[in-house]
Amino acid sequence: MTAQPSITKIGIPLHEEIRTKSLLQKALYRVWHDRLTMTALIIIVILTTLAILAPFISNQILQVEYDKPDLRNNYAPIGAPGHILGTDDLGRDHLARLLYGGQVSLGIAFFAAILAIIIGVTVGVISGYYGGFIDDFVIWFITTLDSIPSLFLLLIISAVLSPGPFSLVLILAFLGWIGATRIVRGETFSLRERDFTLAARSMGASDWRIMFVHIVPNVASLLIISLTSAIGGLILTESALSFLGFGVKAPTPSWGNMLSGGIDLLRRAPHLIFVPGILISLTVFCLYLIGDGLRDAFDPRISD
Amino acid sequence: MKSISKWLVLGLCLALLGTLVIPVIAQEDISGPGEGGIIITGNTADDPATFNPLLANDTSSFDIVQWLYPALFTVNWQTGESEPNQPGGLAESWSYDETGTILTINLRQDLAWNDGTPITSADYLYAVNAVRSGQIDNSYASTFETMADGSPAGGKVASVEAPDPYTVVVTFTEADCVAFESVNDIQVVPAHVFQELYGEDYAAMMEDPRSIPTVSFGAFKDIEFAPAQRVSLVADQSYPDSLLGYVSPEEWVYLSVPDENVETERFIAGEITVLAVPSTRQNDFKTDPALADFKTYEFTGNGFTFFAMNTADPSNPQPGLDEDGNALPQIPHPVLGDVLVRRAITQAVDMDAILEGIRDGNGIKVATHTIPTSWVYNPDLQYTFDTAAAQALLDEAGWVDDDGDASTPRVCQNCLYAREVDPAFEGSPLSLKLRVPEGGVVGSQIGEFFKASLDEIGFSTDFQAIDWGSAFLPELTGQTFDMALLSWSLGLPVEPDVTDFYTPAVDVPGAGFNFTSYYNEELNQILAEARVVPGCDPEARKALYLRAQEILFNDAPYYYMYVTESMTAVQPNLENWNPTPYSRIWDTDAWALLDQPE
Amino acid sequence: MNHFIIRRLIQAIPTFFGITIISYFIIAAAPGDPVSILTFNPRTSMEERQRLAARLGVNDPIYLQYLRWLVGDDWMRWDTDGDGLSDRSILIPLDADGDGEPDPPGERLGILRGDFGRSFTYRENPLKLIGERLPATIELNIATLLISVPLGITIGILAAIWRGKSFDQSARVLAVVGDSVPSFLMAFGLIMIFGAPTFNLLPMGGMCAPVRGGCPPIYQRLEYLVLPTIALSLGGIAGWSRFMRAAMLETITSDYVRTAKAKGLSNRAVWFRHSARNALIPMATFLGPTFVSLLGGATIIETIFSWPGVGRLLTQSVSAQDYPVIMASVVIGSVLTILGFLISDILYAVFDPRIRL
Repeated sequence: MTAQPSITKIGIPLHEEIRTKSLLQKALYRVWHDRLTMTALIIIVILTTLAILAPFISNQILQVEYDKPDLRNNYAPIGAPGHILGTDDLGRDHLARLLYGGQVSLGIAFFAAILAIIIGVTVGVISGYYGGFIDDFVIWFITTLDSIPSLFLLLIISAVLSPGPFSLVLILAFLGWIGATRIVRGETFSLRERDFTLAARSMGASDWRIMFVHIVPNVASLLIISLTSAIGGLILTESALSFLGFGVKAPTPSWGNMLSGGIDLLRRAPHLIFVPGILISLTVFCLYLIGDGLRDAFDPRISD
Repeated sequence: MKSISKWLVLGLCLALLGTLVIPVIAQEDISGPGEGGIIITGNTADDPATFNPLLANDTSSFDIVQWLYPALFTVNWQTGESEPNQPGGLAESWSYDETGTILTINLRQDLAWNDGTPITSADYLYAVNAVRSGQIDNSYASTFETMADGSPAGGKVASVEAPDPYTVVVTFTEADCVAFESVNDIQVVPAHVFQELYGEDYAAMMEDPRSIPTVSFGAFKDIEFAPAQRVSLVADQSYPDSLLGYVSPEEWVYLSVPDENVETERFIAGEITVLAVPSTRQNDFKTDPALADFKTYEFTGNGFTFFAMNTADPSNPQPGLDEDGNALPQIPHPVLGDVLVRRAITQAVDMDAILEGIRDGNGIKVATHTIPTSWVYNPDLQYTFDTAAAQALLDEAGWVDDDGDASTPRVCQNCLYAREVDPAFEGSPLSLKLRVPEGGVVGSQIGEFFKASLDEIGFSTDFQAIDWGSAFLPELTGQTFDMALLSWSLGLPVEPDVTDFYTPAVDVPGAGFNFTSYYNEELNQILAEARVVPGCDPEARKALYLRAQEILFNDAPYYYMYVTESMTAVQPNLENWNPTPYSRIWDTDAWALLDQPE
Repeated sequence: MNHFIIRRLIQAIPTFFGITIISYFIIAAAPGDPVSILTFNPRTSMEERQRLAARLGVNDPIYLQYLRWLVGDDWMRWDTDGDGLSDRSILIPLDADGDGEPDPPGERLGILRGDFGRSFTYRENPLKLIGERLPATIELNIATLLISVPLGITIGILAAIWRGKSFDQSARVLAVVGDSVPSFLMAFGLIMIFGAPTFNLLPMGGMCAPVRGGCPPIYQRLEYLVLPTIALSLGGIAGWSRFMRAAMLETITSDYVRTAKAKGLSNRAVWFRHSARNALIPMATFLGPTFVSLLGGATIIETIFSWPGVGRLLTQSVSAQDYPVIMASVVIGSVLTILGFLISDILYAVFDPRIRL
């Protein structure tokens, strides 16, 4: 009883720690010196901070309300007095709405991706670890869900749930976890036969502990990589759904519904298209770059 | 990029100026039969579901079949009223008997289908029989329903007979000044062709919805249908009612362009001949010099936009009549059940700001269900925008600002619902659900403005734009909504009768159109009375309808908002285009696209 | 091999039922009903509505609707004395529309016997409606794949070879740019720039000029394909180049390539004869599923470019709650997807000698 923990400490994780730490350090070093990825990262951090601070910025700094219509002052262009980015079709401050819309769009994409990964990891680890009947069922379920065209499921479920930001997170997560499950299940298959897992099991660690303390950390890098690209993809999905009329609905602003609403005002107020369009593209662009950068950085085959 | 487009715009302006200098050729016979070019109109809606007029239920289908089949009566597009001897209409004259229940229609004897077969009363009778059989989906079947089982309840028409090939005799179940137009809800089909195709097995039509008509009557014929792309028709020179004595356009094409903005851009590029200008683009055509050359026509539409206000309890919707047909008392809506609250709402919103800011000035305020072009329109009924008065009304209704904080909602202190239904409601906040159908910017713009305006006077408004089919309709017809934004488009000729919207018989959760569960004894009597005015005397009917409008104005089951002023634009080289407020395409058979100078 | 295919096909059966059950229940659980959408007209009477609801069967419990869709209702209500009205029934009442007399016998055979029912909106056979739109979708898909796959793979190979160099960096950035812009914005941008509003180089929509007699052969109307293909390809180029780059990097560092190098083969020979060839194997397996997933139609691109494909039909059917069309497309889509995965597995086996099925 007394001996076991010490052996666990010295024996098993040590081997892993050396490997992962050096890999992690290497990766961090690579990212730090990858100027493109770092720039993208900084832009994302700035945009996210601005979005989180939306109430503070619009109340204290801009001193405007994002949801107060002023129909005598709509379609003001960029640089209009009191409105840095002009006003929208109802005379509301465009910048303030973009900040709040960022909260919604980034929030939806972020939480949907996180939720998808949590579901995906849990299902994937359990399925890969236990195998057998559980695995068969999971595989059947995944194949089934995968075989229904996903835009289609998305449209149907959105029509059913009449989405607000919250239900959209659930929908997107429900459709997004399969990829993570596939990755994790495959990794778990190989990891569960590895020395350190076998050792942990022989020492009486519970299945639960083996899965989430020993196996999951080993797939973490894979997950972080797919998380960043997933968030980018989900921001695009959110805007596409808005265009099709199945996205976040008024009065909640989101970058997607601001952009698709702006298309109708194409010639009258181009800033209502360009600014949200650029914001979405820039954010997604940066997230993809970060994803690519991380993938390269964590790639063990590549030596500098 | 930017400078290039600037040059292009400049170049375009110069080119347009150049075309202005070229003298415009005078009206009328500028081209021969079929030499007027190809008229292309865009369709942003779905494909037509059918080319069979008896099954048509969607605008796209109606847009096509209007060219192929005659109607019993046609509207005179200058006056907006049904008149005899109009192009495309069969009736030569009509008269009522002294009881007002028997309508005798004499048909023109000079008309024939384009295979030479004369058009007779048998053609109309076949259509009526098909509809009354109940075997086909036809939205207007109820008008003729009595004939199927012989009982007098329900439908308006007791029988339709054809004593000779050019006479139709319609017997109504009762004298009804409104029933006249319902006779015209069914289009006339070539009986000899339909008889051969379907015989008495009308249900067979439903198996064959897109069968291409081989025999027709109208300015265009020969449908060529490319799904999701276009429907195209060619001129039918045998059409006897054409304005010039021949059909000028060579073809008429109904082009599928699902996106409104793309449709507008393609119109601007000259790919589409005639465009119903989207409301968001209307002002571009008025102000943008690059678009100044297009011919435009502005007209007052024949529909109005309103917020329906549910007067009955949305948590427990009840039909207006019980099973024996007696009026069923409705539990009032907690907030909107009180007429004072509804009136307060009508005064709380700055409609001028909506018309100016959201509709770009393209709308006319209304405060009743009649539109300015109606013969019973009363311009004196107008809501006034007065937040102080609105707040006073709320105070009077027992909704008070208890804490002196304008940002928190008012609460019920002896309001109607607490007084009459549930004392425990006392102290509840003044909250409302505001729903608009998703799609189109204007709806959500209005919704957001309403929310801000109502919150201003002490409401707590939950505003959402929601999906039409899966959310909005279930709430609306299920009568579980509070306030819902809708637009009615009224048919032509505009009929002031509103029995279908405000009487208890049509207050049926899930189906009826009195979804506000509004009930007013006097109004019901007036509406019934106006339908049976002896001889349908217009003056007497007008007096009754004016009174009905006053009642509706005071009771405010709807917050009537505005009638749109719409715009249609056509290519600069389209000649013989004489739009009227009632139709922008009535004279299509005379249109001619002149060759554009190179 | 045959054994493998048969096993996979048998495995697909429960998947197929899973798909149809999940889809049907999601669709039918949606609030609102198709009848109120079809009859939103104040002059349509209650009786007419009830008749329609009974005919479409949308008021039945969901499991019954599903059964009817799957195996038909000719065995649920039938006629023994030949008077055209049913006199026996199980599961459903004899008089469903409430008009006081028994309804005609059930006529639906169910999809297992090839009867997909009729569209609520168009009253047509859903297979016919989908079939009318499919050629346009396939045309656009093939064009898209012809552009995006070769381009993406070339970029991917070059980026892997020049890993970390400026080509890699700029290819990476360009690929990601194409993938980052919302597709509808990209489509509008293309129309506004290359269409009549600015340069007037290319048509703004449709599959061919709107003249009678149908569209000419494809080579006479290529200009109509250009803009929608570009809009659809951009994401694909990014995706393919990223996959190819990763696959290529994997083979470059593998033992046999190192061996080949050690044997003194030139870089070029190693890259193209060994690495690229092997890296293409996983790519080949993506092709099937990609093509199938594209068959669902690109609703947004089709809408903006007025392209007569299936995507628009699907979106319309979802809005109108047109169950038969939605379900028909789910069935077709999923059968194709299952086949697509199967084909990709077979391809994998064919290309990769290490795998024996």
